[in-house]
Amino acid sequence: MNTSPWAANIWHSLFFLFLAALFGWQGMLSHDGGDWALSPALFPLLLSGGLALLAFALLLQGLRRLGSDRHAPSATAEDVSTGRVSLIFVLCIAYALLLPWAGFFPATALFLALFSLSIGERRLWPILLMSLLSPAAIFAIFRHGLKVLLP
Amino acid sequence: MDLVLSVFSQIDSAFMFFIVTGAVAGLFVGAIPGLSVTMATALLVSITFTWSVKNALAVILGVYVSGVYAGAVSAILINIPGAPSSVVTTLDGYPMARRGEAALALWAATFHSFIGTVFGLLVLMFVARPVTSFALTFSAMDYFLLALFGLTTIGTLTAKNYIKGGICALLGLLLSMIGIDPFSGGLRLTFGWFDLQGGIPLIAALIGLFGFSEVLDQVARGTMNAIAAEAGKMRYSFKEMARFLPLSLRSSLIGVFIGALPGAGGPVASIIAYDSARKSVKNPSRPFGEGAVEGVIASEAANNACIGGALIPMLTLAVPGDAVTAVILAAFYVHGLQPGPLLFVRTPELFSIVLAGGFAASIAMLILGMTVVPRLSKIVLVPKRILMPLVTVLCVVGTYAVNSSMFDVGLMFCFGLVGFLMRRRGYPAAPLVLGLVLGEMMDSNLRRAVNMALAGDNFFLSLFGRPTTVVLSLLVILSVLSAVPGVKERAFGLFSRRSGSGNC
Repeated sequence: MNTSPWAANIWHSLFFLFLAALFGWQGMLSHDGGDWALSPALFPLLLSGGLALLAFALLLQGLRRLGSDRHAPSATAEDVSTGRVSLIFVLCIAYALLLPWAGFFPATALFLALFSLSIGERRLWPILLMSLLSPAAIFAIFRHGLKVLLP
Repeated sequence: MDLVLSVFSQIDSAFMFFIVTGAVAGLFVGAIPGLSVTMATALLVSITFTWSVKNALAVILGVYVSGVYAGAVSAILINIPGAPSSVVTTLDGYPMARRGEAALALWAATFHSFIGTVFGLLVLMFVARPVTSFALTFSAMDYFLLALFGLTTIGTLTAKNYIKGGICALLGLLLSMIGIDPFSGGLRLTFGWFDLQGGIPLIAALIGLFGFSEVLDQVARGTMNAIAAEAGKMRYSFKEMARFLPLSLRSSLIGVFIGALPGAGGPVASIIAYDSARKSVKNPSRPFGEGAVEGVIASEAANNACIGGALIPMLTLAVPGDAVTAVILAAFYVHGLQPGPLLFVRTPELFSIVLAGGFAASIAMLILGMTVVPRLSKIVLVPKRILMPLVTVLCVVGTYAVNSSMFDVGLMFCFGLVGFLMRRRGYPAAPLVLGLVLGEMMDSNLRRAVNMALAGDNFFLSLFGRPTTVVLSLLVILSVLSAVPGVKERAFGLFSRRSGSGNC
């Protein structure tokens, strides 16, 4: 079924209205009871109000054009592989969790090999070369050359 | 003439050696997201405090000039800005790289960064005092409006739907409010989460929204060939250099002025210069945002011109224009020097050393940009099956390097996912990042301005009664109105009808 892209904007606007309410509520909580001009809540509340206003404008824009225009306003129409993106994202989170536990070199080598395998690299030597040499090079440059701490 | 001779007399072989060493270091530090020029100069202050002032300043200025330029290298090649001031460079630089024009984009960035730096230094050399006097007239409300103008501009520039651009800018500002309030010291918008008390780390957001989201985007597209079939050639004739020189000088003028305003800095300068270029260039090489070399030129000339601008208040008033000049100011104090109004009386040679260092560093940057950087452009030829995993590891390392925090790394991944979804739905990342950068400045200046106005006789006049404030307010209003569909057309229609009736 081919749904109008403006319908998506309506859902987005509802999400942004929710965000505006959430930040507005948190902003109110930060008010210290003193003068509003000096209050830490002043700017967050102004911003939340602005966000609510623009979200409402997006909602109106979506409702006005819904059905009348079937061309996407700005979203890309091409097909994307949601499954592959989810897989890579999960792999990245696993890498972040593994880093403190396994150490930089083994975790990075394993991550690089799995990442390149999952996006279609099948040749063994580039995978080996990349997963073994690049963590060593990054370690040498950052840790010893630039004296930067690594995970 | 004496000043020019004094500047030249500072340059010797040892001075050049330290300049080149600093420039090479700056090139790498600036190009790697997460390693900032501020961090590098701060490290250098501790390393160089036993050196002579001249050599210490040479290496620091080498890092500063080259580092500011190098932010464009990663912005153009892999869509990860090395620093917030290079965010705008990604808008046209990366599309150029994808079209196989990486080398051309890098050369344009190099040459016009050089022009910007030299222009800024010339302004510092000849008109430092008048510029400082004018910058000092800016009130808190002016700073707020200047940042607001930058945000409204970038919000409308980068999104096809102006409402979405505005929403992103507001979300960035709201995210920048998370953490400890600098005025009261109280917590705000942390949602009771301990790790958010320090605020949203800018570098994590920057790397996530630009770098990691690009990785996810490429994975989603599924085409794992190289970013471009070719890196292109350095085809940039003298004729083209001359053609773009007025744009470069105009952008540099914007950069040097914004740079002289303490706290404003490169991100604001590059947005305003980009907007000015979009409005003034009638026939760009391509539409802005789709690989127009003019966009790269405007952004890079402006952010490098900020160097000279930021040095103006630092040298004449001891007020740093940006974070790096604050560190350089600290270096001055470490060496027992006293910048400020008496600098030109007590230690006039110091002014010459800074100028000589800046000019020599800009030449070193140009040479490195012509020799080393083109080799880096070959990175776009590496297949994405190899490049994307490596970019992800660099995103992790760059994020971790700032605070040594795995929470920041997790946040970077979350920003990456958000950035990916935003791209897919037509929400631009640049306004969000710039909202994050400018939020604190806007908040503190607005509250200061409102407080001062409340103490005055007339609230409205105190807030908006100054000529600079009126001009900036009009700029903000025009920027917002120009984004509303129909307003521009009606305005043009009104003028054309008037001229038409006049002809009758």
